[in-house]
Amino acid sequence: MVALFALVSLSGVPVDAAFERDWAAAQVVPAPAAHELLIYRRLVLGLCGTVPSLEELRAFEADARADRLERALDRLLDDGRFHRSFAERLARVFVGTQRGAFLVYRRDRFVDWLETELRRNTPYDQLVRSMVTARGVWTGSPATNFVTSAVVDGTVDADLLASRTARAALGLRLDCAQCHDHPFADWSQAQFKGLAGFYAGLEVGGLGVVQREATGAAPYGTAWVPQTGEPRERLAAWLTDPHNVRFSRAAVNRVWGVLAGRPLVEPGDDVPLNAGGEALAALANGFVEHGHDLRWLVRTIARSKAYRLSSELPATADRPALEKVWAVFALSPLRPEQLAGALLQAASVRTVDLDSHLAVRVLRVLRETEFVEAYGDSVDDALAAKNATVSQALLRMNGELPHELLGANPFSAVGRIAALARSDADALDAIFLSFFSRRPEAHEREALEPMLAVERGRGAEDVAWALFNSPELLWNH
Amino acid sequence: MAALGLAWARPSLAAVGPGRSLLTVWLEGGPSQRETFDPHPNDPAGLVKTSLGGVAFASFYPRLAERAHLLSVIRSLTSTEADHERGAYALKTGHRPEPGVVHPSLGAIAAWLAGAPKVLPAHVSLMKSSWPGRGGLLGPTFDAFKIASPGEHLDNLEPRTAGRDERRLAALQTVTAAFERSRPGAPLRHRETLDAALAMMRSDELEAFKVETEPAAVRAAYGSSAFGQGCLVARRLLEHGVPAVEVTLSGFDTHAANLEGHREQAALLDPALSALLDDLHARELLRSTVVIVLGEFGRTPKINAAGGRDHWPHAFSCLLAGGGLRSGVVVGETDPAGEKRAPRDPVPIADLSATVVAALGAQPERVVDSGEGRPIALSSGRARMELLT
Repeated sequence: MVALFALVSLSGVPVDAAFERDWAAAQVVPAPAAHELLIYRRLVLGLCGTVPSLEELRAFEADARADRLERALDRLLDDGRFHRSFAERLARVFVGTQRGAFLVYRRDRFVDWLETELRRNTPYDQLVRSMVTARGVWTGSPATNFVTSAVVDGTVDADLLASRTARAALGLRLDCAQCHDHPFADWSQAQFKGLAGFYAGLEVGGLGVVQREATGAAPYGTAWVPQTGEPRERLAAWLTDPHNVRFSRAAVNRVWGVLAGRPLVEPGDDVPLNAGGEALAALANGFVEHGHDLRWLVRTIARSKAYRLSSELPATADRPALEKVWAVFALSPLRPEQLAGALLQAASVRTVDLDSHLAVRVLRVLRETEFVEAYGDSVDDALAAKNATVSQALLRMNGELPHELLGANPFSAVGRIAALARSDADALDAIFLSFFSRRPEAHEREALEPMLAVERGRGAEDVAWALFNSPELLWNH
Repeated sequence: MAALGLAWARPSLAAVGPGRSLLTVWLEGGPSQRETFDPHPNDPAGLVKTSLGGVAFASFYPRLAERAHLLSVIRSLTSTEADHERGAYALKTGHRPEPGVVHPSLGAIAAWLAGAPKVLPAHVSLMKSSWPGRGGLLGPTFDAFKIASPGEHLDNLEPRTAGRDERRLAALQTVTAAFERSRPGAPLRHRETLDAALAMMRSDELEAFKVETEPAAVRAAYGSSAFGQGCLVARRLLEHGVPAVEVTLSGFDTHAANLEGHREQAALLDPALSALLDDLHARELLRSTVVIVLGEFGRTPKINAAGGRDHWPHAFSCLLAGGGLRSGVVVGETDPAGEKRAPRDPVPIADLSATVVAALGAQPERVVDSGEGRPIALSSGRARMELLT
């Protein structure tokens, strides 16, 4: 660990050097760098939950300056789509997706609150402290919904809160002490109960969340728990103490996962201290040094060499070995809401964002929700990645929403491209950009351009259908 | 436990034994035990004697009463979950909800036990359902395949643009090949999934989803309701060897006007379930099909100010029938005065799941590995031997 601290210089965190040491240790040669348009696509998918719009791509391409990616990233960090999408991802981690207890839990308020805090760039440790210590009513004090999300049958389930706290904030499956998951882990039931003790005696009533007698004990690092104070204040102080490296490690692992599609260490709620190599350690150290600044973290990840590697490899390469240390960009299937977002965005030439007409946004949310429900939203991303399902393929090929959005009509991107493009070649370019964020290769042009020649509208529909159903669209690459 | 390594392996078909299917009739909303299968004397719904000696159902179920000898009844199910979402999870999986994990539903387990998938989906949910059975740790391929309007249309199984398939698939082939070629060894599974989807779309087996060819008298017996037609489709799927079928009848959440609500529900359920049992029995399918009829919880013994009953997970009922199960058994008893929460001889939901897994022909305690290093037992409960053959 001494060596690691020495790496932190005033100029920032040398994450690239850490990755390079991890690659050297694994004896792998990293893949070449990816094209800038593709990195831009990864960023929009990770930060905003959709593919870039044709409009955005054209603007990006028109910018000839060398640092166009940096400036695009700055724009994205101020983009309302980022605050919304990232808030939803954080909410999944901290309160899950369940609808919960109807009268005392408002998940939407919780997401709205996170969105506001992300816009303000509130440090991550403060966000977690607000959730853990919140009191008051779930509507007026929205962070309280972290607590009320665990209301079962009118009472607060302290075990559930302890379990969520350990998994979400620390990357620790403390609740599985008695399960099969970790036959060799040395966490005891008493340690779990000690953590749950900080949430004991919580009551939800007319005054909102109040806490009566509680008896917390930290499962490790007891010296970081303040001697005095309210139980949940003491818990929050312990969680966010700079010595508690599990806290920053879990956070940077998650944020990497949001940006890249897969966390550095899988699954994201189980991050042992010896996992993730020097890269994870360097990111975590830097995150603490920079006051748990999420935008610093996003920038650092987005600028890292590992994030900008290609996902392509020669046939002789050992893909799993390279993916394990991120010496190649790891492939991950788009999450259902990313796929819905990609479909909705690709169907529109203009960027669908907070500046869009309210009706467009409302319709977007409704359609996205319906699509995600039909597509199936797995709790376990790793399982979902290995199990593409037939019903998903059928929904993509024959579903009502894809059919409607990929149709050539005066309002759809496909229709407008078909009608307005100066040539078949231009139309094909625009369709490829809309779905793949790139232009067609020569052999693709040769095979697909004739489809537009017979009847451009129908041909454009057919090409769009093919691109939407292809692995290149379905996977973050 | 010496054979643990072997026990984790996927079973060969021979090891599974009888190869039974699971039919779940899901009563969404939480049916009142008192207005269904555990009526007490003087209940406003009235009682009907059944063909199962000494056992009465609510009077709303005259047809099912005639077929009660095919059934067993548990009247002492106990769950800890009084919320719809959590209750559905508990009853469908046999586990309490836990963060970070989804346990497989019993339907997913039945589909998994059946081995390699055929052309038709192995796990089908018929009718709109708030919580269709999920594959959970067994993987999303065991999620229920959803058909919202059975007998009417096949969601997403028909191409939207007839006559353009060939061109579209050729274009898809072009862009797929380029992507795959530059990423050898990537586990995309794109082709396999697409091929399976196309095979399903083009298969004659899709006839199983259609009811037009059924004689009018048969269709009438199930009732003209969407649920009745759903039950008919369920029978056809079971005939075609689908190992897990779930049919949902929603509308049991009678916080107000409980009696009227349950009368209306019974008018849909009684004919459909009766016709379904008759058909399965007549076709000898009941021997190879495990049937369970249940919802997320029961309802309060006391009637509230709105004439309704509220959620009651402390003692409620379910029906069981079919292969691997005895008929004519009644387990448990609730307090006639409705004051005691605990029933006699309680059956926790984990024991119900263990009983169903055993009836399907598998060891409930058998540990399986989802492939993600998270081995789980098929059930955490103990099978009730008195219900098993």
